[in-house]
Amino acid sequence: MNTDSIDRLQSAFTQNRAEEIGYDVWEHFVIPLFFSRLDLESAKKPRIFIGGRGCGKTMLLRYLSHQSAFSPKRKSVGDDDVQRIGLYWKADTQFANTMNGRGLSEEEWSSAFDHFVAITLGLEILVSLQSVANSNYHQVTGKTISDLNFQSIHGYLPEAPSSFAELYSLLRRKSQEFQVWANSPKRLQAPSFLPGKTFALELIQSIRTQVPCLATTTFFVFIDEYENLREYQQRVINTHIKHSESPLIFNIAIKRNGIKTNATVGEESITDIADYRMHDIDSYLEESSFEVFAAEVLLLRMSMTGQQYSFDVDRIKNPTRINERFDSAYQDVVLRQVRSMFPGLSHQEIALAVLKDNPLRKRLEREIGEGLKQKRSTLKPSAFISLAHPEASIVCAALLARPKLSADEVHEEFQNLKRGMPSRFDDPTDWTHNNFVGSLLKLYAPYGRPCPLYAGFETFIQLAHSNMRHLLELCHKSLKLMPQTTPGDSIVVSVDVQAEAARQASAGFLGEIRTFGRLGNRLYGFVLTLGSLFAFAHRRPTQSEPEINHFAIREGIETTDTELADFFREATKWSVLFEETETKLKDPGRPAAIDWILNPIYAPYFNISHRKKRKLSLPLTDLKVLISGGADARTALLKRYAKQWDVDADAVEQPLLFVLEDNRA
Amino acid sequence: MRISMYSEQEEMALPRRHWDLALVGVPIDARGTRAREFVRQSSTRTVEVLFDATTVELSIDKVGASLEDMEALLGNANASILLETTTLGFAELALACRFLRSAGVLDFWMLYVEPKEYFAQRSVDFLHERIFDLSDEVLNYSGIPGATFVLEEDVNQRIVFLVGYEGQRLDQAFEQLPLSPGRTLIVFGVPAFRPGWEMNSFANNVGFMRERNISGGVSFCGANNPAAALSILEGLRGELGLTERMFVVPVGTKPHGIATALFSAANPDVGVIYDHPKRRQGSSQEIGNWHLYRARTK
Repeated sequence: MNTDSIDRLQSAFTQNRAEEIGYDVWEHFVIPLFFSRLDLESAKKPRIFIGGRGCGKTMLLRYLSHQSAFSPKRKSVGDDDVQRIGLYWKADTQFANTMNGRGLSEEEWSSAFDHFVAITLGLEILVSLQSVANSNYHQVTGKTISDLNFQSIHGYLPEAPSSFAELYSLLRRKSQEFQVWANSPKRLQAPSFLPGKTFALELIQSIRTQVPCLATTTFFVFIDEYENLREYQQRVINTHIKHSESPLIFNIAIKRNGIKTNATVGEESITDIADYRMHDIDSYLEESSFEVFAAEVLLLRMSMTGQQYSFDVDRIKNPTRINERFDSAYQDVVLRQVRSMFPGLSHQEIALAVLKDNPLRKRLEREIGEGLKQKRSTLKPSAFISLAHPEASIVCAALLARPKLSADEVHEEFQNLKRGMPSRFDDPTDWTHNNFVGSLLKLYAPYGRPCPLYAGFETFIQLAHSNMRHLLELCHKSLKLMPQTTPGDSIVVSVDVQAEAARQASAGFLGEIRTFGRLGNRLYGFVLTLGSLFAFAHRRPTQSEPEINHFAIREGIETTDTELADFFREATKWSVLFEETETKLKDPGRPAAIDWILNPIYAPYFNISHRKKRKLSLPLTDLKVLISGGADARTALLKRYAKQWDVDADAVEQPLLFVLEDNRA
Repeated sequence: MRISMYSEQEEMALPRRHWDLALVGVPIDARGTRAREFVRQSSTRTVEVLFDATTVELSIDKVGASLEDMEALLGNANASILLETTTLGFAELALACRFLRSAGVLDFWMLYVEPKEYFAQRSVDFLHERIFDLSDEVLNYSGIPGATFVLEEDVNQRIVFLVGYEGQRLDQAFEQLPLSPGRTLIVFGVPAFRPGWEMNSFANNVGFMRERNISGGVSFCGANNPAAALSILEGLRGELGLTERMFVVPVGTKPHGIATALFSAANPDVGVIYDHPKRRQGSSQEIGNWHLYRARTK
């Protein structure tokens, strides 16, 4: 493959956010496998879409909106398609946030905000008609629009001209007038406020009356980033949700924990099932084979650069063909293509590579030697290394560090393994299976070399944890780091390159935590310290509890501790932590606690396991240090655990403790 | 608008040391405390002003007040006015500059005390970043009352970011707001307060600039030079087309914030967007140079 082809391929992933693609996402959108669960065809109730950053909410909303639905790139648009017209609105929260105080009551601002909604929706409705007219739907044309007469809205806007173009200009002027007023609400006379939903309904009714093919059209408003609105603004939107019915239905997209209130401007509240349907996009992705969906997105992106792949584009873009994609033969074909591009290594292959790598092998021999010396054994390290049993060889260092195991004991079991006899390296004790990943990570730690455990498409899927943006970035980085020419016509990214890409992507996403809202800086400090703590746990010589990468709070969280509750709400909202009910109850009489899982995307940076294996029971006092402690307190905590785990904190490679030291600029 | 700048190592050497009225903010470190004390001794009347971005309300000397109260406070065109910008937040500064202009105050002063050092965590080599935790909590971006406009799709934006050490503030803006990266200009403070400090700013912003495909250009002006920053803003304003609106996002040094505040006061059709960070106590250590700026409207 030549440089040009690779350049084009690398460019396939430079746009990982919906915002970068624009409002028309028609070409880029792959119907998610959970699409039929959204039940959009017969939707009459509002939808609330919940999901973390990178789950694809915005992409979905933009797909459902008029810019994509009536994209000029869409070759065929029929009568059914115009029965639903989507209006995407990402509220400009920097403007919305200033609509408060300054001598006006909340009630007054509430009316003002509703007026803002009316103007925004009015403009968007008009623009949506233009989208339809510019599409390949021939029943609505430029002339259809220019013939429209909006006399019916004169009750709300006496000065409103009747034509489409003039009404559009008037609404633009109304928007500007409103912005000027909102900047000096006490000094300037308030404009005549339009009633948000009612005005939009009147406009829609006028359109339905005059355009026969739109006579039964329903408009769906999709409000993105709802969680950034003020509470009274959410109440206004909640009111519209509560009273949504055809031809105008309000829907919102939010991050987890993003709803400040369920109240409306009246006495009522909005409730699940009665007033809306909740769709948890993160859960749907997890439940519906994210790996297949991700593979399809990858193949589509790459095919857009001219690469040829064996898959049917229409199948992944046609909602009526979803069921075909659940066929196992189809999934095998798709996955095989992507897995061949991003191959991984088996544990045995990785272990063999370690034994053939001089520095790594020497380090292994050194660790084994240290264990033997501690036990005053005369056995040589080479007695515990065998190319025929590479994984077992790697776990020997940890076994020899355990006080309760003698060197002779471990040696005898290793010999049994080599002879094909029952051995504790195998079932049921399973030393190899239980300790290999932890031992391998510990072996790689000091070198700053990326561990090949983080390579392979299946591993990328685990690291991404159903976050499409994370997955695309892992692939993007991998392709970017590829050599500029490769043998053959097909793409194969080497394991080393993938592992390095995982580490770089992980570092990038770690840095991004500081942008995570109000508590971004605190979340960042928390993850750095927690990740460092897990990294220390991974360095334990004995590996007696390998792969510690999640925690539970020993005492639970008191419901009155609002600061802690707020922190965990933000941490889950931004997918820094995932919350799961405890899976292994050591004491069946005790209620299940919550396991807090660090997002696996950060695992490569800290060189820790990305699989959910063992947890740390953290006392509340330690947790509070992790969340809000100063640099000294965090350092002291890490050193305490390091000592407890027999890890030499000073010998630990950068950048763990290093990151917490004060320094003068 | 003309800005005269005076810099001294000690406050005693500053060319002017008396004003009728001074506005101050709440100090968070020794630098702010010393600046505020200097002002208290140098002014007939000192008034503390604080803007709460959450409620969009003001307090004056710890009592709830309206924007009209602040406007009235600054309404005497004959009084000599000093704005103590080390302690005043950007929002208070922007409001003050606007009210002074509308009151016809054509000549006023601003004080800024440079930090000698910033609180920094050791650089994380692998991340190639220099981590400066200057802010404890950061709100969402919001406008400044009087200078807020909708970021509209069919109005062409021209965005200017004056950046500092905290690169995540740039990224956060693009995450939260519908900004056009292709129409965004980044302004770095070069030369920095101290030689080498500009590397912190570059290192912490470049990654985000690349990831967000920000391609509207890069400019440089002295980190402690509001006149130079103002010149850049005025230059860009002069190039705007009829259908374009300019937005300024001052997330860098306070002198650059001063330039933004003055520019906004003189150009009421320019939007200002700010994230109102809650500054960390003791985020800077020790006191550097004292800067006195005199703003005169031509």
